[in-house]
Amino acid sequence: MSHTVRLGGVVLLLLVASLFAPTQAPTATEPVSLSPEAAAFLRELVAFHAGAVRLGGLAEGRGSMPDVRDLATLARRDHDFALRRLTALADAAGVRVDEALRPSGVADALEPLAGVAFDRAWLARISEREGDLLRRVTAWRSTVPDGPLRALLDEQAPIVRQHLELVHHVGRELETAGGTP
Amino acid sequence: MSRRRALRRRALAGGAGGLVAGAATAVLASAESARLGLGCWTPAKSVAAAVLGLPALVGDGATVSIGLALHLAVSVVCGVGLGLGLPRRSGPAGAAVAGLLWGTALWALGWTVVLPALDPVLLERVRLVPWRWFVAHLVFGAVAGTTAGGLGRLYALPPRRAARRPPAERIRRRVGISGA
Repeated sequence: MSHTVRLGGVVLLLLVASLFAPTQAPTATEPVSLSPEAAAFLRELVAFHAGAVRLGGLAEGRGSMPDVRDLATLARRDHDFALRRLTALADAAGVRVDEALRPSGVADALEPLAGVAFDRAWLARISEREGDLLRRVTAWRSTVPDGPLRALLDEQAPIVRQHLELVHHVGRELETAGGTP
Repeated sequence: MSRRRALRRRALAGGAGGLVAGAATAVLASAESARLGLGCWTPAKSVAAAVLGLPALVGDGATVSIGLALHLAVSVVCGVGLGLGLPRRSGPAGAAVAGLLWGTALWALGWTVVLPALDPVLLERVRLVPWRWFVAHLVFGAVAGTTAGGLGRLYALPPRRAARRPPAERIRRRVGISGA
């Protein structure tokens, strides 16, 4: 009996501790200093991720192929997670990102499309955007010293690379299926 | 009890502990991933990527099942290792501490050797939440250690009949008569 109680106690303690374990994202209570160039790049990143969340959300509801919808869900969640970390860093650094968070016309061209045409256009749009982000992040990383923004970029670059590879994989699946959802 | 038999029982207790701990960490990882907005099944799909590659991340229910089965199988193997390494007369606290140490060792081995070689997709995902990944290994070790320790002591008990004294001796003791 006492063994069971102790086991339960250890598990409960560790479960509670895990809920309070910090993520690597900085919190607003830890002031961070960013150069004007880093702050400008941070705003660009926030705008990009906000647009990617909108694009993902659109394809979750409109995608005709299950793989497209699954990829859209994955991308939307990952970009939303990145967006929350970046806005936390912006808060900590006193960088205003309200403008970057405003809805853009990133998904306007896809709105009138449906079915396989939508899937193809969405995959092309995502491929273009994720590729562009990866190039810019890679170029930026080589110029900035170690710091919270670079740490976030180091975490996110492999995830963006995963998205890009998955876009190509799903694109191939779509073509193999002959455009049939 | 023969040495081989004792080892087998300790391995069995460790395997059972690993299974229980694997189930506990699977629930914990799924709940935490959902709480962070990364999706309840993303951890299982990331584990399945060791077999299916990156497309596992957009997989369906079968992919999740493969990920969970693989996670539980690895948990049982890790539990067997712990069961064999547990000190023979360790109490619950000692078993829990040994489990925590084992969990830390597994975390270090996974982070530096196993994941880079076998599942880089999962490694890239857990880099987003490194502290939680570490705590999950501590939970695994503590649960596996205490379960394996408890089961190990249970197995080590003598059979019930052999433990009981013969009725005649019990009666003699009750009435205060010496057996001699």
